[in-house]
Amino acid sequence: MLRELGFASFRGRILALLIGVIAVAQIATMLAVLVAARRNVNEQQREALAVGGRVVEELLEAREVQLLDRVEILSADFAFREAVATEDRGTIASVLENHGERVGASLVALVGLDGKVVSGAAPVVGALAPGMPAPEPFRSLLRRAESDGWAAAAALFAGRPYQLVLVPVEAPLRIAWIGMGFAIDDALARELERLTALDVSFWGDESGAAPQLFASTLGSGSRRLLAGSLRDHESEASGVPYVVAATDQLTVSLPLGDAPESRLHVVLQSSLGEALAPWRVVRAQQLGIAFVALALSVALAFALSRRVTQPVNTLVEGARRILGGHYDQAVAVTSRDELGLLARTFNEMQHAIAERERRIVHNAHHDALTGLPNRAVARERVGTAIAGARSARRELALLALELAELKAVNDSFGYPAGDRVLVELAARLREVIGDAPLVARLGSNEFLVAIEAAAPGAAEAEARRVSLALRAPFDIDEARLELPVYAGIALCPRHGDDADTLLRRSVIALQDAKSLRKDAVVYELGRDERHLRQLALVRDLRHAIAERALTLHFQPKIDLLTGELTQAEALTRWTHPERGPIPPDEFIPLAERAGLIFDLTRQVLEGVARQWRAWTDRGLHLGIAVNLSAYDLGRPELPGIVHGLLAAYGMPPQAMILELTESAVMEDPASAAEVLRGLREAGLRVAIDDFGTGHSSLSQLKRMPVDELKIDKSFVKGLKPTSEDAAIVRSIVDLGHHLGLQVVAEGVEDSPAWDFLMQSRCDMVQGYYVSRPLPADAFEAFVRDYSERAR
Amino acid sequence: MRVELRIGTVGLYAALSLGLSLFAAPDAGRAGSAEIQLRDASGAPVVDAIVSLVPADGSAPPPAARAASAPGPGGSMDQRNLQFAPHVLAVQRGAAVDFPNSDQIRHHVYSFSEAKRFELRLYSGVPAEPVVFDKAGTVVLGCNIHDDMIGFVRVLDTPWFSTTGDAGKASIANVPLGRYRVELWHPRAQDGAKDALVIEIAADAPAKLDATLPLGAAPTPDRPKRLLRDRLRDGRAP
Repeated sequence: MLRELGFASFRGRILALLIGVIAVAQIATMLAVLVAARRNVNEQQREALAVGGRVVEELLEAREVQLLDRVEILSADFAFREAVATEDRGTIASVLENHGERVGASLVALVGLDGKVVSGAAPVVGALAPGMPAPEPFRSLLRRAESDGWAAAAALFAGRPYQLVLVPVEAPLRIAWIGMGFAIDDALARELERLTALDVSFWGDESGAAPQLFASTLGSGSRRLLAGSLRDHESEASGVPYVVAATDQLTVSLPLGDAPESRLHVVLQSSLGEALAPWRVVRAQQLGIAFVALALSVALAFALSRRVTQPVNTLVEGARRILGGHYDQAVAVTSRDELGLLARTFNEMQHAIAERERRIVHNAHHDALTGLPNRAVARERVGTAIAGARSARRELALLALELAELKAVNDSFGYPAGDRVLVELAARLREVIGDAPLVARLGSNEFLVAIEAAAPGAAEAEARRVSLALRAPFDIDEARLELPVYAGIALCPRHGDDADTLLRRSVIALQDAKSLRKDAVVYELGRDERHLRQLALVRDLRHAIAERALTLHFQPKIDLLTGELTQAEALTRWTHPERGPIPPDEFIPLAERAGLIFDLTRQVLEGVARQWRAWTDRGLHLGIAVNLSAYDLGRPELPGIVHGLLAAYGMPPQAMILELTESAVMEDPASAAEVLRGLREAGLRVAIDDFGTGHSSLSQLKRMPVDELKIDKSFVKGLKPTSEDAAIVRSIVDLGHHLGLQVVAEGVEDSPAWDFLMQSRCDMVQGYYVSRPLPADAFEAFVRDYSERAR
Repeated sequence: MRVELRIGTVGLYAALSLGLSLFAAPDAGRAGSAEIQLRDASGAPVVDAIVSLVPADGSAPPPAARAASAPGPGGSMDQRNLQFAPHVLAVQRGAAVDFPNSDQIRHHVYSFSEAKRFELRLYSGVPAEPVVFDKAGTVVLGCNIHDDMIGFVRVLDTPWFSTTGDAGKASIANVPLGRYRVELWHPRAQDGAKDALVIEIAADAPAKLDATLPLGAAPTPDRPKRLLRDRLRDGRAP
């Protein structure tokens, strides 16, 4: 599942998106709140400091007023005035002390109008000694009092801070000044702290000495830090808040007095930490909310994405099923939203695909025109039919049917007519066969039928009946067409019990039916073997040709007149490694049908040329005849190859004789004639082989550029003067001679034949009587021997 | 302190007389008078200034005519409307001064001056006994319960004195002929009496003298009401 949640997955992305958005929102909110809080607190602190400053100033001023009042009341006391007027120093001193205590003063001084101290008391002994000029700050106060009538100030005296007041003693005229100093101490600081909720400290310096912290509400450690900061911030303008290093105290220093050479300040401090305390609660709450919101959003994201991806996954599974070809299970998504719609459409699609596939499969398996199963399924159906028959212990007949002359119908009546014929045939088949295991259309005009026979041995009869039923004429376009339907029948289990074998054998039987022009032919055991043999031979022949495994044998042709051995016919021999020698009557047609004949002919031509060279070099001068097939004639390279070989081996054209069967020539007389003419003009000689068996007309023969006629061996074999063939032979000889051709008789086997041919003035003979075909060495030996004997 | 001398025709006379007086002591049988005009530095007439004449030759003036036991030309210092009346009273040494209280409320008159220390504690009406001033000098009077009540009794050794009125003029009669030092005194005089002024009393006409007496600043009426007493007087909360 974790992989599902990776970024590649939609679900993962939804999750990430939702969480991301919420997280960003939360963080942004928190940051905003924090920043606002900070700013708020900062402003509040500054405000608190400002307010605190004003409160402190007001308080100190009010205290000043109080102190003034106190001292004033004291100064108006009659007894006091009397004491002062008596100028009795001792009395004055004790009165000062007494009254000073009364009002809570730490400093008392009576100053004469001359500015000299009359009497005084201070914590520092001798600071206010009688007779001395009033020290600062009293001197400044005096100056002010002389013009204003009174004076008050916060100032340092003898290194300590006081609130000082100076009022006149009037009796009734001003006779002296009474000054009192009220200590600025921790108690005052605490009182101020109580009212302002700020830390309050008083500091000052005298005559450039280092600033000193006097009264304070701070603890000793904080005092040290503050004192240090005061030293550092001495030059800063008073009243500008700053933060004491290593603390969170926002600090502002306000001047109290501005006596010359000394200054006294009150320092107010606000702890940022304390100020932030309520905000911390908010922040904690925020964090809590953020957490909860995040958790909720994660859960929501999970649920939401699940709602989306689950149907998607279901659809994916459905798609996979379709991929695998299963169309039966519908996708179960029942929601009424877009996904539900998608699922429903998906199911419809699945249905449609299944339907189409069925149709496609059906089309693949059935012929479009007739609706019958086609070749693709035929074999399978055959197998099924066989199995069915076997299990029912019945015979099965497999019919391979072919409708002949369909091409003629198409040509004459058009393809639609041909189609109608086929459709009609298919209908007839279905009708005739009923619920037979198989009716199929294999090809354009080929059909396959499998029928079970009710009774043993009845299969063949059944099959023949079917074949007969199909013979009815077809009515097409007001024409009644009689179209033969050939049938090849193979029976199961007689002719085999597997589909391939039966199919093959039924087709072989069909081919036999076609060539024999019989309605129905039942397969004969052995035909298949022949067929298979032929297939094998073709294969092996191909190899043999490629490997030049075929040899040439030579059969002599004797000139009857001279008795000389003037020619040799080259005959191809093939010895199959397993089957032994294969008759040329068998493999030559195979070669022709398999398209191998030209290669074979080329090899033969070259072999012949080479052999002629060899013999000529050894003093043996013979012409050599080579058999060509009709296929060879059709190859345009033929003349070139022939001339090339002649040139290569220095063979004069007259030494090569080309033999062609009559039927081969007559297949396409016009083009054959042209090729042959070309060859003859080059000097080669041409002979018509197997003359008398082909379908040539005399007019064609007349036009054919040939030099020889070879009478087919069927006429020559067992030739007797009295046989029917004698007349034919004689006619052929005469005909040939009259056409200016030499006549050769093939297949001379005995002496009477020889004699008759001699009598008939045949030009040459060839046959076992002279010699059977011999390999080159043996032939050469024969020739030399024959020459010897002839001499 | 300089005393500026304005010499007019009178001054000329005085100068002439000066030569004569050199040879003659004051004539006890014949008396003259003096009229002195006092102005302050800005030229305004000086009120409540005491002009006294002391023989120039240093002889002692005759003492007071009356005994100290009877109220007499010593005068009286009244208290009226929360003020001493007169503001300045000149008496000869030995004079007995009455202190009648004409106000409805009581006063506690006192003085701590060296010339006379006394108290008349919270009384109304007239005290049975007058106060005898038997030392020369300035006696500053105050009222213990009224801080703004201030009066002066100037005790002189000479019988020839007068207090300037609103015009700033003081007339002294029955002055034996002769030459005299003029002593000026005012509560706000910036210095004590100076002996730079001299006047010649002649028989025919009053001797006239214009003198300038610089005064210190009067208490400013609008000083900030800072003190309790001021605020009380104004009726504001303390």
